[in-house]
Amino acid sequence: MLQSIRESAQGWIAWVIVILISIPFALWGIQEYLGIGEEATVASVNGRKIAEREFESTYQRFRQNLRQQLGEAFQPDLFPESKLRADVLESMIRNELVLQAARRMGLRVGDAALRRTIAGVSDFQTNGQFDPRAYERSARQQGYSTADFQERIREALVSDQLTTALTGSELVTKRELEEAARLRDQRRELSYLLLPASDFVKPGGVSEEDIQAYYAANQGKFMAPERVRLDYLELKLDQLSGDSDYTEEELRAFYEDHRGEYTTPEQRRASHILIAIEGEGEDAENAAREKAREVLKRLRDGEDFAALAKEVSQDAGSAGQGGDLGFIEAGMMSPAFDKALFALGEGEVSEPVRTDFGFHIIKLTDLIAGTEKSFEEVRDKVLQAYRSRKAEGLFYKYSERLVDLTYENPDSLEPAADALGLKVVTTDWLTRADAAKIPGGAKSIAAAFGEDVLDGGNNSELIEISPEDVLVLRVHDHEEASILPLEQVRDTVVAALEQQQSAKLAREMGEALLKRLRQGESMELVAGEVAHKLESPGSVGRNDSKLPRPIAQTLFSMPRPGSDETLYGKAVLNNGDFAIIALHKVQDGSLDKLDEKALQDLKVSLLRTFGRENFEHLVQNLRDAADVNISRSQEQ
Amino acid sequence: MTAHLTEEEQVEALKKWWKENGKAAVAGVVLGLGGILGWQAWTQHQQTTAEQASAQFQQLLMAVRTGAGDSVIKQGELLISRFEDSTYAVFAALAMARQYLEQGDSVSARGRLAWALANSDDPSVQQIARLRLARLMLNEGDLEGAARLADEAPADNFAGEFAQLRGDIAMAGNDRESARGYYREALAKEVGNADLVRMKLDDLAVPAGTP
Repeated sequence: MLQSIRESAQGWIAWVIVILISIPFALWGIQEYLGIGEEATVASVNGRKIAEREFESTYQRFRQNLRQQLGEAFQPDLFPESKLRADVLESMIRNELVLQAARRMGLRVGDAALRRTIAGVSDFQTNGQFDPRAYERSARQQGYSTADFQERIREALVSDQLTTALTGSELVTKRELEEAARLRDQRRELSYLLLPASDFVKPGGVSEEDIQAYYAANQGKFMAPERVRLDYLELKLDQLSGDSDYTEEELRAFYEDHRGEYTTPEQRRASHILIAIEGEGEDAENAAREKAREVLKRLRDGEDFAALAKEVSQDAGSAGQGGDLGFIEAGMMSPAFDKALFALGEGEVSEPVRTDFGFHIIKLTDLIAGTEKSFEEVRDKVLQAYRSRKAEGLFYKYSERLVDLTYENPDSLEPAADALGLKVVTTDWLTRADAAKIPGGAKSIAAAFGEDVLDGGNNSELIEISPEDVLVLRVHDHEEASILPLEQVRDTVVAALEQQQSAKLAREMGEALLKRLRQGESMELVAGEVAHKLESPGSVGRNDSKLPRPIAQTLFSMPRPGSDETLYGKAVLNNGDFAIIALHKVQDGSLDKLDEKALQDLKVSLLRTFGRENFEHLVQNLRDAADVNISRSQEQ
Repeated sequence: MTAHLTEEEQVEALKKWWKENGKAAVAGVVLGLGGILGWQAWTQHQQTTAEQASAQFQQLLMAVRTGAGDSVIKQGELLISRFEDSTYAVFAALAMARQYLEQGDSVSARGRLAWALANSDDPSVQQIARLRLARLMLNEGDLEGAARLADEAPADNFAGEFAQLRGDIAMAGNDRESARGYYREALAKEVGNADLVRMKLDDLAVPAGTP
């Protein structure tokens, strides 16, 4: 049998078989060569992968937006990177789930609709017209090829259809509106009596034992934070002056090299009439050219340029202004336009000029000649510029030396200080919260408490405070976090205990009074007894600012009193004061009291909340049912 | 195959095989190709249909946005008649229901929501339609109908919403104690509009000591 196979294998049938078998092998792995091999992924959602590259760029965009929105308020500490990353990843997973759901439901966006949408995005437009170059630029900026970008937009549209279909069709019933108005606009009439904790402070009422116990139980509150003293070398551009050593020749050469900075270019004011080419092909172009020639002829026959521009120009932006384009410098317009314009004398009109837009007839209406200042006139300025340029060069060189020397001698700043003529500055003790006390602020603090500098004892990397100000630092001295001795914090402990004690006394007193009130004694009587004024704010709404928050909260969660009945409640304020609350009356809100606009606002806000929340439930359902794998590196 | 064949014999054998099985082989290939092409044409058709429905739905959304109520109804009717099996038909029904309600025609609104509930394949979309339908029923005093729908709802992330609905139904039936229980359940199950539910619950507070 084997023998026969071996011999048959010589025949042409065998070859056919071999070729057939080899095809899959040949194609196998071809994607590796085509560059579509496995990409690093951060998560997979029902088998669809989220690429690390995509995640990173989304994360960076998100962070940048956050930073821009918050401005100075952006503190890296408040937004730990790991949390932000996890949030961004989760939102990408949810977006992917919505997209998958939309696909499963058979939602699609056709090419025509896609093109219409893309053409309508203002980012992809120049002068209100779709501009393929702007589109390509946007795609590149986000790291996509135009084909991929297009698919991304299609995906976004499909997801958007699902979202809009469900949230946009949300409804709210009359009954729900009434109920929301009834509760939201409810008002409650109260009076209240405040027992300030400060009334109950007993000087010397805190025992030594209590102090010891409190100190022992709350050591976390009495920690001296970890702190460091730092050595640093700071290099500033303005310390370096490239002065003294210059020659007149060098200055002149500098002037020649930077002539553009000491001259102003010629500016030409132009008007134009645009004849656009309608359609494609040579015929359309010839027709437009012919039309342009006719316009030119009418001009030559003495018609007014501005009036004619108004009549025939197809540049909507300038036709109304008689074709005026304002002052133009060389290089602002397309080359053909420029060439024609800068060849004109004042008042002259050009032949038709062909550009991407069509045919232009250009008139030079005004001209501001360029100016050129001689070396002598601007010598001072030149010297200043020359020096700062030289200083910049020095600064760059010094920064590089600083980096090299502090890296080569990781355990000292001295060699760099000596070589560069800088002085090592030593700071006072600094904690992590002391960013304001050191140049470089949060960046320097982060470096100082970083692993390499604090634990490794090395010089830091170059910290760039500004493009003209850099520093390198190292730890001079270090102290672990420690518990402050009792003697240093005794006052704080005593104050805290007194507060606790007095708040407790206020509460006890308040509870006792409440009991008497509930048995039928009057608020006025009780108030007189404790010698505090009975506050009577009258009828208040839920978010009344006159009322301390805890009182309002209690007030609006108390049962409704019957007619002529008063119910009592209590609230403890943040400072330990005790409030006794008397609720006299509840008055429900009503739709009738709302004007047209307030009614509309209420309706819209309910629609939005219902719509958004129900969609959120849908996404959560998808999330629960989904098979999501997050790669280990992201979980940390 | 015991003896090996010469090349001529091989050709001979092949010819013979072709004579016997040629027709079947050709038929097989034709069938296979036909299947593939047919499948492609079918998916192509599916896509085109979906894209047409999508474009029509987009128009309907435009009508919603511009507040052209009659147009919403007309476009919706057309979409549903042309693409009855599509998800877009369900979306159209949802949009129409809202429009009918705005016009004060709650019978038609309920009809559209019931249709969307019956015709959607997606459990979450069903929940949304079910919840809206039940809320409409409650609005019209059909407490039993609303409660029946709430009973049908599967336990998923909409559970908080349905608990709130049950609370509202209980309130409408003046059963304040059950309402309290349902509102508490709604808050525990992460109802969407938690602030409002908390207000509803607070408003039902009873003096300390009573359950």
